[in-house]
Amino acid sequence: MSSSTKDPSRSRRWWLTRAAGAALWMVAQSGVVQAAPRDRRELVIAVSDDGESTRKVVADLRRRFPRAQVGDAMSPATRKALVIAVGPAALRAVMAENIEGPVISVFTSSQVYHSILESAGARRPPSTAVYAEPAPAAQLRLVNLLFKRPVRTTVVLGGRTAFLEPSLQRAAAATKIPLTVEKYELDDSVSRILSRSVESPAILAIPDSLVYNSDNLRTVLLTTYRNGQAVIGFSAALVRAGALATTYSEVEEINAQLEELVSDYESTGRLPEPQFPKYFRTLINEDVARSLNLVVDETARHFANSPDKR
Amino acid sequence: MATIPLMVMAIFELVYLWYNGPYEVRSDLREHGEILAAAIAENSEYGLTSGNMKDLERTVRSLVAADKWIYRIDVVDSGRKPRLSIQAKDGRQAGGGRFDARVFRRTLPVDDFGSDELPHFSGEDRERVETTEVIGEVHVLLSEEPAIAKQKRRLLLQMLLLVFAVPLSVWVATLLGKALHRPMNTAIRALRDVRGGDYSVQLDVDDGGEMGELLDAINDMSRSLDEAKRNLEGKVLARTRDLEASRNEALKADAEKRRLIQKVDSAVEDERKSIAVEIHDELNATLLGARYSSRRILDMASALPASYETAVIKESAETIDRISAQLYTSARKIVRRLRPEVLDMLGLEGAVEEMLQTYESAPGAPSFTFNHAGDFSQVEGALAIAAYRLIQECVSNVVKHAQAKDVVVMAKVRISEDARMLRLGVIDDGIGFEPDGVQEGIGLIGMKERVYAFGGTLRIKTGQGAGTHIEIELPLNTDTSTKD
Repeated sequence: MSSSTKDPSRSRRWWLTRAAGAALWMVAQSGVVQAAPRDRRELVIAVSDDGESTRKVVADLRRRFPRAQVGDAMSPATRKALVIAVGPAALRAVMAENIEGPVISVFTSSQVYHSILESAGARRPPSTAVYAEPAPAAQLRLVNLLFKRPVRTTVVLGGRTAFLEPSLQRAAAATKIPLTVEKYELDDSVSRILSRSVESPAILAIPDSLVYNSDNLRTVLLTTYRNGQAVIGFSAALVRAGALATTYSEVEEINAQLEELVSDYESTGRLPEPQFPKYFRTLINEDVARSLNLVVDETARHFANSPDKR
Repeated sequence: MATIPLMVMAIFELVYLWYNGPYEVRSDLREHGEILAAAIAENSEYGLTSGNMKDLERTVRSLVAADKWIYRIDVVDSGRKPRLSIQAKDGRQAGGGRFDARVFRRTLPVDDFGSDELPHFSGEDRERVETTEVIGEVHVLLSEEPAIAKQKRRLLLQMLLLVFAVPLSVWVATLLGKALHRPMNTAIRALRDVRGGDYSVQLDVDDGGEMGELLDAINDMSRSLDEAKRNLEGKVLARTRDLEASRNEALKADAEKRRLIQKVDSAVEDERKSIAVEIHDELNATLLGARYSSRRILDMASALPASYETAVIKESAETIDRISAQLYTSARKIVRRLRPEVLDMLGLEGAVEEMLQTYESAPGAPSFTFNHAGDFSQVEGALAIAAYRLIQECVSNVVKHAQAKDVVVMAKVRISEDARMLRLGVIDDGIGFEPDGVQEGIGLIGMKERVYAFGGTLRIKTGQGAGTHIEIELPLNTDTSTKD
């Protein structure tokens, strides 16, 4: 009797081991990579779990990169292969390997991506990322669409997201939104910070587990609701829980951006800077909008950037 | 009577209300306090989490002011540190108990993108597990006075209701009782009539419902009983007719049997008489003639000279004379037994006396005593012969079997307004016999048949060594006795 029907974790290990083994075998058999125009390396998709969402990601990546090998993130890969790390665990495992090839992180938030890079030290391979959270610039544009004018927006940045302040300021300037950046200190309370920002009709939530976590998100939502503030969340789930709206990216949209990134790298040989999702769509909580007396129009509802427009 | 259950119920209700009062108060307090504590705990999550207690304080203060049951409300954090305490200021007293509820902080089941294990998806829509954490506690202290006041009002209202409801119920019960009384009495009277055998009872049914059904049932029962009674009477009548017919048949057969026995007896007597006449007229005359001739021979031989031949002739003549005389005597005895002509001459009492003298003259015979009374002229014909033969059979049996010394024979004619009867009795002091141990002989059977033929009775009292007492009663002037 197969144990795979008995123990899901063993099944997952069996699947990953077989996938990694197949990938490494093919990498070893292929020998020297055929010459690309500039830098056509071997491509390895590193995963660390076989959850439903991860399987969906891998399936889409296989379709986009037929030559790519799917491997366990903990398995040794060809030193110079281009590795796509799906999720934080896979990224951390790849960073721990002694490889030279570039690493592209997907489905990892910016705060976790930077945290893992810091932990990996200076000898880490070159890397870039398509962050998991929505692009602040798109979120600020959504604020304008929801309020139909630039309104003061407060953003709370913790230690893990402080690096985003310049890009936020640029995006605010581009959208003419008066932006208030609140720094979160260790002994501070996000509710207290938000209470200080009652003059801001909009709160842009940037995922930083020091600031926003599952313990205080309910309180944050209650506080902003009492203050009459609109929260621009960072995920569809948060909007369903009580935030006003967010832009978000489906798996296919992140992967499309990844495909473009790999293509650029292979053509230019240069790894771009980490970037926020380029393709997105919008989700609005109509109940919250009504409670805030916001009239949501179709422009806001259909605010999106689809890879099909390319 | 109908009101007694109501009164008992009312008394129990009052007792219940009185003794259940404290429990009701406690129950009200508990229910009120638990609901309040739970509601305030639910509203305290935000205040304890955010530190913004102003809203909660405002809410609780309004609650304490509006709800007279609340004495004080305390909110403490997870470290038991008081965060809020609002007490009523209108002089309420505590005593209603304390009710606690824990304040939970529930995590929002969304990904905060802080995990460094699983991938982050901004478009993810699957539910995550919600976890809870105790962050404080709410204590609600209640005042007892409002609960007691409420209970007093409730008790007063219930007693007022009882005061009105009980008399009303009694009145209604009385009306119902009266309404039921009349048809019930009618039904009882009807049932008594039925029990007394009057099945023609039919009640007027003008009520519906169960009472109407009861009266209908009584009517049905009465009709059914009446019909059953008529059927039964018809059957009894038919059976009685059958029995009477059978009885008549039996009586007719009985009478015929008696007549037959009498006829047989009569034929026997006639034949005896005929034989007796033959013996008397023919045999006796012949014997007398033979005796006369033998005496002439003897006389003639005596006149002859004595010789051997004359001596033989004389001796033979004497022998013939003696034998003839003996035969004549025997013939007369036979004639007497065959035809007691003495009955015709002396009547029954004389014939019996003569018969007893004859038996008594026999060697070893017992001593006979004959007692008779009454007018025996009423006893004649076949009845006289039957009575004579019955006594003859009894005495013959005594002589043959009883070994008695003294025998008393009785014959009495008793004539009164009620009955005309010939009573016969034969009592001996002989050895007697066991009535059940002795098979009846021809003689006893003949006696019973003879008695039966005349509609009489025969009783035998005897026992081993106790002698024998036979008593016979024969009615006089019956159809059967006068026929012959």
